[in-house]
Amino acid sequence: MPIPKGHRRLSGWTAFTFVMAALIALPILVVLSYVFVPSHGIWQHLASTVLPGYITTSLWLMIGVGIGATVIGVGTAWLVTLCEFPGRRLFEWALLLPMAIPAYVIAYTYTGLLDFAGPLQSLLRELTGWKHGDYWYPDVRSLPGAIVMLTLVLYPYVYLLARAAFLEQSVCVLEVSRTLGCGPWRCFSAVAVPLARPAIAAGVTLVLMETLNDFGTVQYFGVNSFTAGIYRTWMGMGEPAAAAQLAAVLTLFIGLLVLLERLTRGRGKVHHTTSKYRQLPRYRLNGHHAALAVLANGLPVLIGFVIPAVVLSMWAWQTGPRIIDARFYAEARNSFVLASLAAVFAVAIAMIMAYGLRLRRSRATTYATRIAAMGYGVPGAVIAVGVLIPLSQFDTWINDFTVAQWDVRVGLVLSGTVVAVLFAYMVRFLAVSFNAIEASLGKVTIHMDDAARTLGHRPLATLLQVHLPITKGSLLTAAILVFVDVMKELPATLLLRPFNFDTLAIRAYQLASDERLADAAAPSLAIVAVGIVPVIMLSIAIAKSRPGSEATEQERIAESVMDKSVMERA
Amino acid sequence: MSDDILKLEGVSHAFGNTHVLDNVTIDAKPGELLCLLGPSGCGKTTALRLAAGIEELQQGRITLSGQTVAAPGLHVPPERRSVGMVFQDYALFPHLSILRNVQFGLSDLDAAAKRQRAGEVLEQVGMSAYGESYPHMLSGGQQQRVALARALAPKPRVLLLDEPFSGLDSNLRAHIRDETLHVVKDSGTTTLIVTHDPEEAMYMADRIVVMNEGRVEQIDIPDKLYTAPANAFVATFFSSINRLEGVVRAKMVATPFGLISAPDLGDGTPVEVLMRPEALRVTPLDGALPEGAASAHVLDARMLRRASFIHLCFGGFEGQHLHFHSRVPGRYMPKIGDHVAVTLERAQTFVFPLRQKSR
Repeated sequence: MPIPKGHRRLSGWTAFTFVMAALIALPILVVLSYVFVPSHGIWQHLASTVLPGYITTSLWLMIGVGIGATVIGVGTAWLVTLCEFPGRRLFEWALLLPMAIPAYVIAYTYTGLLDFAGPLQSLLRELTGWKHGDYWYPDVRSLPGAIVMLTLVLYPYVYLLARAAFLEQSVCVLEVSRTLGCGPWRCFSAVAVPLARPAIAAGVTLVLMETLNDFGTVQYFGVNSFTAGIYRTWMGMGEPAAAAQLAAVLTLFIGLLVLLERLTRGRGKVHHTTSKYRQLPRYRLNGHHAALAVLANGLPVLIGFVIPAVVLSMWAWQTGPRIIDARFYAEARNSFVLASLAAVFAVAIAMIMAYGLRLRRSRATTYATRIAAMGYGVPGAVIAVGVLIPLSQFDTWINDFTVAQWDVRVGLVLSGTVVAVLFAYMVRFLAVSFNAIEASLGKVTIHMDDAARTLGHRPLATLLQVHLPITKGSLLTAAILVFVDVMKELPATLLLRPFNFDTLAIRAYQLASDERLADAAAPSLAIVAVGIVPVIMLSIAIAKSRPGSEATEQERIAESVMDKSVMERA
Repeated sequence: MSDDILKLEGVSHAFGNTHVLDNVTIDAKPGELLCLLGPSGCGKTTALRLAAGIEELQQGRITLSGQTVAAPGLHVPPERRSVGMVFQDYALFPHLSILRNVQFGLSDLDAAAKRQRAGEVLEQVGMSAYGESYPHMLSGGQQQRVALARALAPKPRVLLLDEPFSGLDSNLRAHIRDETLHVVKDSGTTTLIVTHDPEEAMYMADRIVVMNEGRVEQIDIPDKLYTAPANAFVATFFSSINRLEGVVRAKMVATPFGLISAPDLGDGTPVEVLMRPEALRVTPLDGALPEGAASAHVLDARMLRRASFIHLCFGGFEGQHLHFHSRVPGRYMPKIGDHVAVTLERAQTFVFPLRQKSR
């Protein structure tokens, strides 16, 4: 058999990795470049009028949500891992449920429930005979309201990471501290929390990033945070350049946040001195202590999930027959198609990039993939700005060209089409699939690659016959994570979608904006129903694998993949 | 054109600033079983990976059956080289049955031919009964056999084995090693084995390539490597050895056993004299010391499996105390403190100029 000649060249895999990284980085770079672009005094105007307000509001939001999520997340995590009380095992996974509800959906629900015309106030007036203005009632649609809403759905991030950290803490450390006379409270504050600090910091950073990313809640509540400001500057004032500058400031803000988290992590490295993990000896709570624990764990689940879910279901039951029509199905189809396409693309691109990284790992390819995974920290509204500016520039060039060449105007080719929306999803969610896939590729040893190659299979054939079959479970997990994130996504979709192209999230947003909160229940409930899938997957992984109990390898991997993809959002 | 199947010529390789191969030239003749032997980090695995095409060549040339497959600017990828490889961790595909694993490299054949060929090689390695099993159901030794069958199935030009027995426990290792030797020899495939175990290399190899710090120290048949090592490294690598430093005077080096000839070395050359433990013959000392023998006293005597191992102290040779070891076949256990006569077998004694960085 003659040996064919071969030549060294830039492999297609490496080229693809670089091109994708460049594309994904483009919107963020575009936004950041606006820091240096003069915008004819608009910037000065913004800086002297609304910018201080945006900054203070966003800071208050972050402080409020940060404290709230830390207290609830760390407290509940401590109770379920180190105390024993009735219902503990139920709460262990139920505390994750609020994650399934997008912040804007819970905001619509509580507004509908607690507003002047809502059932609670109506009941109050009926009972007391009061009229409008006769009594003081806290306004849901306010900064404190937004803080509460965001806290309710975001605390599970802290809970998840703090719980994992508490579980990892060597039982010896805690036993020693008990023999040294530490009661539960001192154990908690003097040993457990300081040891878990890096994990808690990572969780809080995630929460803060999600807080800055939130658009639906602040927009609906009329809270002037950054994302709401970007939207208003762009859509209301028609100033994309100024919007981009606000976006640039917000991006720098987030960069600072990530840097801070890295710094706190770097300074105090926490090492576990022993790796003896046993079922932790739990403090058994009795009587009113147990009741308090049940209450402390029950309230977040009740307010964060049960009440909204029940209320949404009731409203959807009432309004469903009217709302669920041909249009609703079209929107559901749009949501489904967009989310599926995004999931397929995100998994395919991430797989090719992760595989390309395996084929030739160099500093350049490693950086390229890191850049491609950067978008997750950047709010959807910022990405929308960053996507639209280059794409519309590109459309202008195309039209100039076709007009000059054939005197034909082809119109919008990329901007204002599904391409732009999908592009934004890739920028934001590629990291989710990439992290899950890179983790799962660890199951395929490099020697298996080598074996397949020496057995006569080219890189593509190796990918299809070895890597895909071995990692298919994780690929599905990654696809589901992206699918769900896209279903819930609001700001980028809102800013980039084609004319008259609505999704369930957009419909919920529009109905809520028209104060038709009960009507918004059906699309909202559909989103929550989809969003609960990954939460269930995570819950099962948590319930089945814990130190000291038997867990199959696959479940451990499932949990590590999920944890990593959540963790890597930081 | 030579009749070499695999040839590495002047191959040098570096990872960053670390040079792992330095002008290495190796050739394997048809049907030959060649061992790359050396301590860990000597570059032997890199040489193997370069031959397979898994690592891209930086300098030199690699030919398979006289055709260049790697040279600067030329890289034939592994899938087009027709090499079979067995990995240290076997790297069986966990999602495929044993039969499918073995068929993996047979893409060109139709289904019936695939099944037939896979059956043949599984028969050769004695694993026919496990075709429908999956890798995780097999023991380490069984996995090793399947990995060998998988590599042999496409009838590769060259078979490459990277530390193929290091994952097995020592009892099993000898058995699998013997099996592998016969399977490979029966197949007639030219084979390159990487190992760090001298005994394994001597057991398996037609010729051994001894490597150290990226360089080839010596290529020869096992017998020659043991009885006529090219330098101190090769001599020391195959067994623990007694070592004495000295200086050449009139083509001779002084030892407690008299003068040893060093015909090729000039006067005043600092040298090391290396004596294998079995070259020291120990006899009880009664009466006068025989001609050419040195007197020593026994520090300790231990029974090993097939030989006695005796620690000897030679007092007052050029003002120093020497501690040598002797390996005596069978059981011979002198008492501690006994005085003995020791003679040296010159055939197993080697004199090399002292290298700056030997050991």
